[in-house]
Amino acid sequence: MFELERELRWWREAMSGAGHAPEILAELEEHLREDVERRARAGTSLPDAWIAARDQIGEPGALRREFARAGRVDLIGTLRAHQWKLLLCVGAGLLTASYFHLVRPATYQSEAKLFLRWSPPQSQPAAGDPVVRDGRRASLLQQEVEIMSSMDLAVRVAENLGAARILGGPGDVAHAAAAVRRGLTVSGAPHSSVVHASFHHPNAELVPIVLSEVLREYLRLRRLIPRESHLALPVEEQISNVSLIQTASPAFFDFNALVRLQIMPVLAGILAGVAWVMVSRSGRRPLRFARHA
Amino acid sequence: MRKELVAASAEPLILSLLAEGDSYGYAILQEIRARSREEIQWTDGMLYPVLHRLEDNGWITSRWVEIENGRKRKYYSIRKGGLKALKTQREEWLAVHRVLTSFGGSAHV
Repeated sequence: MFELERELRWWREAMSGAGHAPEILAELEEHLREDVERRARAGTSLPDAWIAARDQIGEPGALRREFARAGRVDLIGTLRAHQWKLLLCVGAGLLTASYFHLVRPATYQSEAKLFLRWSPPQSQPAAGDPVVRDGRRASLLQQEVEIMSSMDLAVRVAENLGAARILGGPGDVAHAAAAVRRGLTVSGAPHSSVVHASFHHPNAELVPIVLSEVLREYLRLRRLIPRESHLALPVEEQISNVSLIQTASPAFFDFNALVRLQIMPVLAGILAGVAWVMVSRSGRRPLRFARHA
Repeated sequence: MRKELVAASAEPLILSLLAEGDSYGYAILQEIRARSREEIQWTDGMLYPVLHRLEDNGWITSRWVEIENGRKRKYYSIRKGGLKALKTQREEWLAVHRVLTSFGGSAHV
């Protein structure tokens, strides 16, 4: 005995198995029902009407391929169709970037250069392997950079200057030390004898003071920590080799801050816009199905 | 009619039909068959992917309407972008038509 509902159920199962979305199934099922009814009204028996309608709509796999082929929507076309979503997100990104730009306090920066005198130990052959010597030298330089940018040193600076002075208000030494480390940049090129140290902070008066204190503490630590003899750093001479600490000046181009506070929000806006368009495109059918079904 | 031509003409035909009023899949198929005097025979499976692509492009929009006994039918309406796309596609097809009809003599070969 032919049962249309049973046939439809089997058809739905086959279609689901082929990966068709529920909303597409609902639409195609309604199409089938209408086609069967029309054929039956025209005098075709119900089983024949069902077979003709089912064959006319196509095999589940073939239909899935048709949808897949038609679903290759031009990305640019889709974005243009939903351009207001994209514009809204980019606008939000721009607003955020503008906000950060306006509220971000001006940053002041001081710089210093420290010359590390390199004296090859007498025990080593003068015509030694230059690569090995350079590698050792780079490693020693890196060691100095690490000492200068260490937390230990930052804590000493915070203790010496006072946490309140660094933070511009109440606070503990740990936070002040973190602020010192955050603002401090120390670097040394592998084949150079010069360590560059800079400190930036919104408080223009504080900037050279903190940097001077960092250098003073570094030299104090150097005296305490035993060093390899061939990295000659007579402390007194070293102090005179610290270049004049610059008067704090606005760091007018802070690339990291530019990326973090200006470029990232705009990029995030663009990505959010594209994601919104894609999500609304793919999620539209199931959502509507859930609402209407 | 060749398969390629049927496929290429699907978008402007659907958009033209929807420009006259809202409709749904089965009715669109029947209407196109009737208007083309059975010359254009779309397979049912071909129509729905095209409808969904037009919707993804933002040219048409759809809504479910309850018809009877809890059954629902999905109606499609043309949008402003769809009318614009229809105008462009129509001009393209008419341009081809003009060129073809300009070879009046060879049409009788």
